[in-house]
Amino acid sequence: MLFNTIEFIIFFIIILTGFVIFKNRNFHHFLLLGASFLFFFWSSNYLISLLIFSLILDFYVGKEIWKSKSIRRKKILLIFSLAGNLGLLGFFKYSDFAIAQFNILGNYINLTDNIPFLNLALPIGISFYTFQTISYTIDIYRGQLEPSKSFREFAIFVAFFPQIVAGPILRAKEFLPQLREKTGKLKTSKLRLIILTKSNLQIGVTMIALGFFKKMFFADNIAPMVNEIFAMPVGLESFTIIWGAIGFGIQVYGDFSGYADIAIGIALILGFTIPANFNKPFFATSPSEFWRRWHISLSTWVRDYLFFPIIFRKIGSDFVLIFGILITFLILGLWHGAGWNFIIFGLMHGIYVAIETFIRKRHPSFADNLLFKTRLGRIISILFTQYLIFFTWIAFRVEDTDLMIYSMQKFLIWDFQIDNTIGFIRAHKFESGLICLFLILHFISFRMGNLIKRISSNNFYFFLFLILVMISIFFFYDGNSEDFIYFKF
Amino acid sequence: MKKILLIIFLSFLISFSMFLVLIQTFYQEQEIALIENEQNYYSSIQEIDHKIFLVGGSHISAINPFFIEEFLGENNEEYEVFNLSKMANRPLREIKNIDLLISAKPEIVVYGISARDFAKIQSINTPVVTSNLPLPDPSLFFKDWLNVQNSELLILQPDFSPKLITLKEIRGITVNSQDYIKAPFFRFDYKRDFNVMSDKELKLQAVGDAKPVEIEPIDKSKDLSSLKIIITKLQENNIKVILFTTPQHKYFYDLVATSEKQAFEKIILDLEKSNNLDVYRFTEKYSDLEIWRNPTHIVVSKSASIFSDDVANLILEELK
Repeated sequence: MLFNTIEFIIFFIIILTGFVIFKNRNFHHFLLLGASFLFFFWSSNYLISLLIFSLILDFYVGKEIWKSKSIRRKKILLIFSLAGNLGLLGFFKYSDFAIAQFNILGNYINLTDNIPFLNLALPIGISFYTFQTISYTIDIYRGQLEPSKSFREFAIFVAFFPQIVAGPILRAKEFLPQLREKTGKLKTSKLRLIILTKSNLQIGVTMIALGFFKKMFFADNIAPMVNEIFAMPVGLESFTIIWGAIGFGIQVYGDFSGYADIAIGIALILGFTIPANFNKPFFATSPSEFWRRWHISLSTWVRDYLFFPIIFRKIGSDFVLIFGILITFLILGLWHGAGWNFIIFGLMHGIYVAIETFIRKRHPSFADNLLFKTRLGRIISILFTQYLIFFTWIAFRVEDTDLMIYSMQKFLIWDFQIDNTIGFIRAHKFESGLICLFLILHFISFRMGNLIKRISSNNFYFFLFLILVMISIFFFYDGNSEDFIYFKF
Repeated sequence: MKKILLIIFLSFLISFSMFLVLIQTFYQEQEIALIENEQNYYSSIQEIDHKIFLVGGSHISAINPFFIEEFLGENNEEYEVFNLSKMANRPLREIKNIDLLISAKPEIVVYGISARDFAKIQSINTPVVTSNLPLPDPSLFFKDWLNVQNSELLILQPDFSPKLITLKEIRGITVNSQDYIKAPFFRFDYKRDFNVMSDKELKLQAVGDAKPVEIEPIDKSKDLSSLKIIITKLQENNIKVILFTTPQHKYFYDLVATSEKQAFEKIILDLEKSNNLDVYRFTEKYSDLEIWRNPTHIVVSKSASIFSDDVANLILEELK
């Protein structure tokens, strides 16, 4: 079920009505769980069995790890959980990619028979909920989290419908306490009532409206121009490719952060706080800052569960540090999808961050240069960083390796031709105008701080904002609800 | 809380009412403008002798009228060729213009049809798992319930696109017959070479485009009965009709359901029988050539002139 469909709006209204009418905590939690399963089943059908498998595996393994006194037994249980979760993820998401690589290798060494592809359906949201359950088990293993009291509670945490298919990736230690009753300063194990409050409703609806605005007005309307450029970039001028890369960066941001905003808004209406996934990434002044602003729940996940365990083996070693960064970003790229383009995307970011880290460590005087503290220095840093980031979006967007290399060459080595680019932008005035409008609005929201709070705290602004968003969406809806890009991850 | 709910409800009511009223007004204005432009256009070319019209939807927009004129000229057949294809043009829509078209006195009308000209178009979201599901698919029940067929309301029309109407209104698009006299409704620049789609993109897009549609049965299809009336009227006015099926890329064609192919074949046979003409099959003719703008549309480009060349040969054959 997509957020941007009538089905979802009706589904959500029914759920909210249920919470308002029946004021029983057990009913509320069963309703939330039932709604989450129905939401997931709607798009995944029989593949919901994988989610149920993951739930059962991690709930019981988590309990066993907590109970166990022996480190060895804890370790074995953790490995068992990781093997189960990553095994499923690997099998469903990466097996055909691995088979393709084996076949290519086989052809090199003259093996005549190819391994047939499995052609498995990719389970929606598997990368998101797998990471969520893994973090739960690891946190218990590290002694940072007490296992969930009941299966129902744990199932709500993993299958929570606003974020199950495209994040943000939740942490149990942040979410589970929100399900429990608060008595004074202590959270009890008693499940809490889900109460709709005025301020949550107002902020939540503002977030949802903003999410739809980003997704349906910006991302969906910029997409046709981007598709036209990258369907066949051969022969296009450098500036057209650069324009396409900027357009795609904004499209992905609008699409993905729009989803996150809707998810956060829905959760907030239900009384749950889930962490922000984006923080004005187009104003990052360095590659590492970009990852502190982009898909924050994933970047902090890989930092906590992958990068830190690697570098803590040998603190202070430059080699281990750089190796840790590259491996972390390689996995981060591969997380997005089974393809060389995603590996290249991850590695490019890894190289950027590794170089930045190396410079900061070895040449602190350069990194701390006063120039970078001035306004001009910041602007230069932002532009330079964004140029590097938009460069990586080409790898993300263009799957065909030849076309990707061609586009990247054009992006880096300018041909200084402009005639066709002007013609192209003239032919795509609407899409190009949207890109400019987006950048202006992004700048305003960067300068003005928390716009959501400002809008939602004033009834008149709130009313105007809703009208503006709805009008933009209604009038520029092209007749088909586009899928969210991150659904396939 | 009540105040917030009231604001949400009011903002929806105001914006949706504004949308309904304005989009309906824009649409009507544009339809009127289109009809007026079409009337002006047809009357402006009425005096030209020996005309050939290419009629149909966007699938035939890639046929280059200048190329066909030149080809026929080289074979001592002096004709002026006009590509009158329109976006999403189905027989049900074309029939509204048939008298206008006849009034322009063409000698030949070349009409391109595809299976989906006879389909019940539905707006379908893309579930990842779409076929052979072992468990019931709740989304299908919902879609059936939501799917309002043959409604008179503009916003419930299957191919309704507010974006298209809004952009037309903003741009003030009217047909400028002087600029694109040979292809007034699509306004392609046939001197330009547009890009072909890469193999991978074709594969990907074909999956989305080939989503199943239901072809209406022969006895119930309003598009088929409209097409029969169009052909009959043209023949009654001594206008020769050449009918052909529009080409499709193999990635698309291979994914189309067998039931759809069979239903379309029935329609073709019915047309051949009832109107006493041959329907030329182009559906799989270029299915693996690198000449595609997308899985169902050939690109406007010199490299794709094979399509125009074949249509030109078809016309020449009919002329002889």
